[in-house]
Amino acid sequence: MAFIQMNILSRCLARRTQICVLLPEEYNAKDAPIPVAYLLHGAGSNKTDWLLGCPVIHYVRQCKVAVVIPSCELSFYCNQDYGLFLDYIALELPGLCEEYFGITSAREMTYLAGASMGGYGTFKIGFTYPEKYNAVLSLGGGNLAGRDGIMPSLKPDGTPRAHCVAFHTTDMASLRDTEYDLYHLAEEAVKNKKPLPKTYFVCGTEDGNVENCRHTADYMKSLQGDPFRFEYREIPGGHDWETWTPEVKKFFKKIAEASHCR
Amino acid sequence: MVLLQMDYYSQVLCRMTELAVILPDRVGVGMDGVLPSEGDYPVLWLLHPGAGDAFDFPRFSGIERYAEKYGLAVVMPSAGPSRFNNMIGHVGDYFDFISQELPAAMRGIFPKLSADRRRNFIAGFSMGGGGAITLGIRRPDLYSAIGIISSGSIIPLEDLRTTNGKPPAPRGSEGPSLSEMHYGVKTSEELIGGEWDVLAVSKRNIEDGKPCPRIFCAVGLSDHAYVVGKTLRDHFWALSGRPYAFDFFEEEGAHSWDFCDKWLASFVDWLFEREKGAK
Repeated sequence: MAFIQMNILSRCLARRTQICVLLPEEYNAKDAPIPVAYLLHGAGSNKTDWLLGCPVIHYVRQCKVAVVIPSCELSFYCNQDYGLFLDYIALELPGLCEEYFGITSAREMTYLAGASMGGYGTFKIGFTYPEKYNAVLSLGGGNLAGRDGIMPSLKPDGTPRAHCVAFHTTDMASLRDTEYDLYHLAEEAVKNKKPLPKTYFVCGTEDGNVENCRHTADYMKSLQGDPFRFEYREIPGGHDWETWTPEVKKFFKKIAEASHCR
Repeated sequence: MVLLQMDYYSQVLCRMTELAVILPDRVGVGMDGVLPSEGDYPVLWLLHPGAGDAFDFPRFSGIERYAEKYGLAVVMPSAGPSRFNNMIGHVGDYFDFISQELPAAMRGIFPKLSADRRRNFIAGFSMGGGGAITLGIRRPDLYSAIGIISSGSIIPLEDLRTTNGKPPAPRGSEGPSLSEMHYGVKTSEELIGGEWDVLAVSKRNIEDGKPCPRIFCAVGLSDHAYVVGKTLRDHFWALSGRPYAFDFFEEEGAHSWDFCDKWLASFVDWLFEREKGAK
């Protein structure tokens, strides 16, 4: 077992940044490749989100999966002037993991999951580069852009909420059919006939975002032929790791099953 | 360059242990080093001084900058006060850890680390230099070059030190000395001719036809270990035909990170200049 904290200089972010990598017992890059899961943190957190939130290391051990956890500030995993966070996760990070650890970037072995802002980021990246991921999971993070009124844009003090800062507007309707709109990205992916990831979505019934998540789930399920094989589940609980942890465990079990079947 | 802080489960130590690892990269302010090649990375196994740990070199030296010039990977294990030996009572079999487990394990995790002896080097500062010469002489099949900076803890020469450079044992004078914990002996005289005697093993290697690593040794004139370094030089220079290329560097200097840092930079240059010169 190895727990690695790396300091790299990212080209996409044009700065040094931290990554955590977890590898199972007796990992050897020269053996048959093992699956890899990229885990995206929520707003206000960093790479510690997943590590302190749920026992990732158990899943690494039990499921023989490599885990890569980046830090992406309050970017909402968008390409920003101050850093190309989407390109970083989708393009740079897999290349780096292949270079240094021999981690595969084969589609059928690559997974993406995120919590809250990371859930939105998972869908955003998963739908922008659907051909790169076998399956994706969002924990309580739905479509924040493109439809007004589903999520409040302002904090009680009248300042814009974090996603509005990241999207550079408080007028969510103005983002319809842009790169920020998950529905638009999903439609484009289908239209371009790309291979699509199996898509899991989970939200706690007491989660403040539950209305937003339901809207996202309804929309995704309305796509003709269910091209993402979309699975939405509401489970008792809120917007927290206590609620999400059992779902994370299930996701990793599915990763293990998929890699055994091969 | 990429700096990694690593917690790794060691089969030999039977526990998690900490390592620092530097991997080559090409960008950064003031960095215009060698691009990571299509092939593998040369590797420096770099050993910390007494009472130090894996992060001594990243903290107190410029190793990342020196390695960057040549696309060199650097692996820095932690070995407590062990001198990189197998401590008595299996409380830490660091010699086995570093020579038996770590090469394969690190190449498993970082597949671009070279497995070619000619591209593997071992070095250290103070206690780490003692570890480097001991590992390098006992396992010359693993390393093609050895770097020793300011090292006095070399069997059987350690008593030549002008002051006792050893860190105090945890129980002070009440408990066993570090020598007892390292080797199970009261004085290092008992080790003469044995497996930890670097001079004796260096001669046996020649008789056994083993490869002879080239050696870089730097020590300050004001260092308590100066006489150890000079005596070590005299030994290697006196071997018939000088099968070990032994380069000795001395100048005014103390037993300090300032001295170590300067000569670590020279050592890394030496590794690659010699390589170029030989071809």
